[in-house]
Amino acid sequence: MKLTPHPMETALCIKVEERRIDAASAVQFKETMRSLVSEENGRVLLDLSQVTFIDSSGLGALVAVMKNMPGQAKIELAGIQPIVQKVLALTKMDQVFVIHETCEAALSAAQPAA
Amino acid sequence: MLADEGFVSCFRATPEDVRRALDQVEQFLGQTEHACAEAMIVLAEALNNVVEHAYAEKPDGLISLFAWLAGPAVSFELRDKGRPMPKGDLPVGDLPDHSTTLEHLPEGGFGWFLIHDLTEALEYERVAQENILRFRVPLTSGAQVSYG
Repeated sequence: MKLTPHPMETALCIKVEERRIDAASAVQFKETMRSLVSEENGRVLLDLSQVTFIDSSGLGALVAVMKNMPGQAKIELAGIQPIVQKVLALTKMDQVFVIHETCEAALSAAQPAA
Repeated sequence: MLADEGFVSCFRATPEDVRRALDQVEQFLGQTEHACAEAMIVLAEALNNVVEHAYAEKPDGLISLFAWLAGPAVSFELRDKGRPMPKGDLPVGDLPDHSTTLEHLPEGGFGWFLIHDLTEALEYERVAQENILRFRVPLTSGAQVSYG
């Protein structure tokens, strides 16, 4: 499960370099995310622009990651692709995550209120 | 109604084999001009359930998958020789509550909701130690959306 951190001035961008977050990779995704964000205390942007498929395990993993952010760190999603968008919308979990078109858009947007 | 085309596969109940089967089904569905996102979503959930629950992650269980196109829909039949459904029937599949505080947000329970929400003619039966799950997913017109 390849996740590439890109520290920016105002946020840590993490790019998911996999096509799927699914039953086969959900646990690894959670564990890798946990170690990548362990020292974070601010804004974390998860770039999902390469992720073309997510199943309910993947969705659960995203929720778990959000719930387990350390300290004051907050996670936001960027670059959601169509099937991911569909799964989030069907389960109404798109109302739970802060979602941006792109990481760039996320960075230029002010950080949402906690 | 006669099916136009059919797809058959038999594979081991592991997450990696499920991914491969989903790739193949996507290729099979790719020959239609319909978008098949819903079909891929539902099939992934149904297959994951067999791996995780019917076979409780025993990697030597086999899954048989039949898929066929009939008009603007794809029908599926999944068979496995794993454990029966609890209570002998389909789980209800209510949408987990997303309107709670962060710490109470659901991390599971979405799978059966998605299956119920996106399928027609969903039915389960157990015959001679075998689980049989059947459902139909309408295919919507439009551009293909890649499963991945």
